[in-house]
Amino acid sequence: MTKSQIALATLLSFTIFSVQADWENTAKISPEGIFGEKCGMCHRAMGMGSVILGRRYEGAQALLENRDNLSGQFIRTVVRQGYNNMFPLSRGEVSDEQLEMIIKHLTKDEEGVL
Amino acid sequence: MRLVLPPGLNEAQFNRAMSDFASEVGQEWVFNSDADRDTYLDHFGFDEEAHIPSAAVAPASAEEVQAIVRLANEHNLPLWPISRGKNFGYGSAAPVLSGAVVLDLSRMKKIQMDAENGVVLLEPGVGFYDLFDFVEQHDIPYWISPIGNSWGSVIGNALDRGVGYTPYGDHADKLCGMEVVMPDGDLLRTGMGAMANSPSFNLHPYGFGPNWEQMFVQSNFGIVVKMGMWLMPKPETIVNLDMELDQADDLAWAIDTLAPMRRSGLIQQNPSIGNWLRAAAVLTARTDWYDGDGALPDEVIDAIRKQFNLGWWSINLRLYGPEEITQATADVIQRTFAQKTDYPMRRGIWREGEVREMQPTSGVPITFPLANAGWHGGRGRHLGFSPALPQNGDLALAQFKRTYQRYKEFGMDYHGSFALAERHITNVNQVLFNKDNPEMVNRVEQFFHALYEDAKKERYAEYRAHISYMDLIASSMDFNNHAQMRWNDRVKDALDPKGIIAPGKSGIWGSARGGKV
Repeated sequence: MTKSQIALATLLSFTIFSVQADWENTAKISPEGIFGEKCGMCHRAMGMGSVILGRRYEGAQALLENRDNLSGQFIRTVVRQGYNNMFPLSRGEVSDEQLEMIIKHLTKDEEGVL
Repeated sequence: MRLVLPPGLNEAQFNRAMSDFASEVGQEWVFNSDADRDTYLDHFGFDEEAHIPSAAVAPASAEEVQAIVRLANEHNLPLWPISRGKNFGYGSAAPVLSGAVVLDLSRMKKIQMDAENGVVLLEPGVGFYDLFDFVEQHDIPYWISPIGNSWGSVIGNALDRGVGYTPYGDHADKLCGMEVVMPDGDLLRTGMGAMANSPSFNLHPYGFGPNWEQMFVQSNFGIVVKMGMWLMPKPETIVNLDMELDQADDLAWAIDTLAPMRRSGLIQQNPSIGNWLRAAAVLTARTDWYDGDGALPDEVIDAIRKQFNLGWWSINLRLYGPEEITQATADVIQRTFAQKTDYPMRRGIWREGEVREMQPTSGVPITFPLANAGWHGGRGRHLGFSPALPQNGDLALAQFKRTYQRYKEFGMDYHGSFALAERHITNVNQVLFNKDNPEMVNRVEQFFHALYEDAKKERYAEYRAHISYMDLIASSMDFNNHAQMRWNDRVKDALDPKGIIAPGKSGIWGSARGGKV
């Protein structure tokens, strides 16, 4: 094989795609996406938060996305200070801007005015 | 939380360092308010005040990490790198040394995928859920190896020798190729990555000459900013073999039956034998069963076992591969067990295309097991004590009996498991407690020390430790007058003479911060 053939063979044998992950891009534009990325692991079906809240709330109410009684201030306080088994989330993990998007999603606030 | 200054710095010097950090990463990524410090404490530990960071800084790239490390050297300011800070039960995001600045790498979330070889090159902020979503969305025929509580970082877990449940569960063994910011700010690539643009960076496990990768595991000799991980090819089938063991003493023969099959490779993943509390503590609270003090009495244990249809111990095996192989392997395992016991072994199969079991054994990340922390009510927390033992049934049973006695003595409910690797057993003892009950917290702390002393007498040590116990575990590494700890400090002094990177990690301080050399 020539040098260029070797180079081509090497290239073809490595199907490498280097991307900034899709979920991050989605999360940047969608409040639901950011909730999924930052909170979903605990607060969607079978998450730790949903399992524990399931002991206190009836059925679907254990899922935060089904609740209609969560205020922005309550969410802000719980996220930054923790609550029972929930640990606080830092601004490194969830920025203030992302937190406001999460609040928008959970309070069903279409306009984002709280 | 109040400001605790880094050792040796006054407030003006500290503020200058913060200002220099801000000029590198932007003011919005330097966190030094009381409220910010609260979010980086060890909320799962006994005493949040024992490990208070002075601030956190969150860079977005390896270059920014290098810049911060150089500045930290100039300011003589210790850093505590975290990837996602979810090492619950081992210190979360908090530093060993109060006053250290948390270097929060959770913004660094790039994933590069070599789909043909099933290899990912990850940044520290990539969590198990992130990687799972990525692999699923791109329909890549590989599975990740999630851990029991999957919030955390894939890299961070491997660097603390965390384990998963698939045949790729020994994560520190599946890493291949690292990019590391050294304590002087230099940038190193290990293995074949030492050659610029090498296509084998994340494929060849050693490279040319010495291989340094394991040096960066559970250490403070550098900051890993990229790491290659091998993923398991998606199996055609998974066969489940589940058995309930009725008596506590069954542990010994069960281990002696499983061990040869694990060593031979017939069983490819690390099977874990766990007790009756696992399911009960996730699905229920203690008050559902018992209101009294002290460890749960036998009749309550019997009621729990009856409710969830559990043995004293449960064995859950998973076999991966084409059906011709997994079913034949299951036949051999069942035949082997039948020679030892009449207990039934249930067999099930998952085939490609079917919905996967929501378990890390099927490559699916989960968080619900940590619902067990709510067992006692209040702010539920857990702590682990996990010594490594030889793979021997009698030794394991003796370890269980000794430990169970301690649980009873300290009035705690037994929550233990024995995981069989190829040549050793990891005995994970979970201690669930209510942080809002000071008497219980105090008791648990004494309990932990008793477990440590018992294990030390047998010459067993933990494979991993909470930040409050790193010095303690390190002090038990006593061969030849603590030769390895003296060596660690010598390496630390050579690479990081000012003790900038994670002082105290794994008991390594270096002479600048009071090491043993």
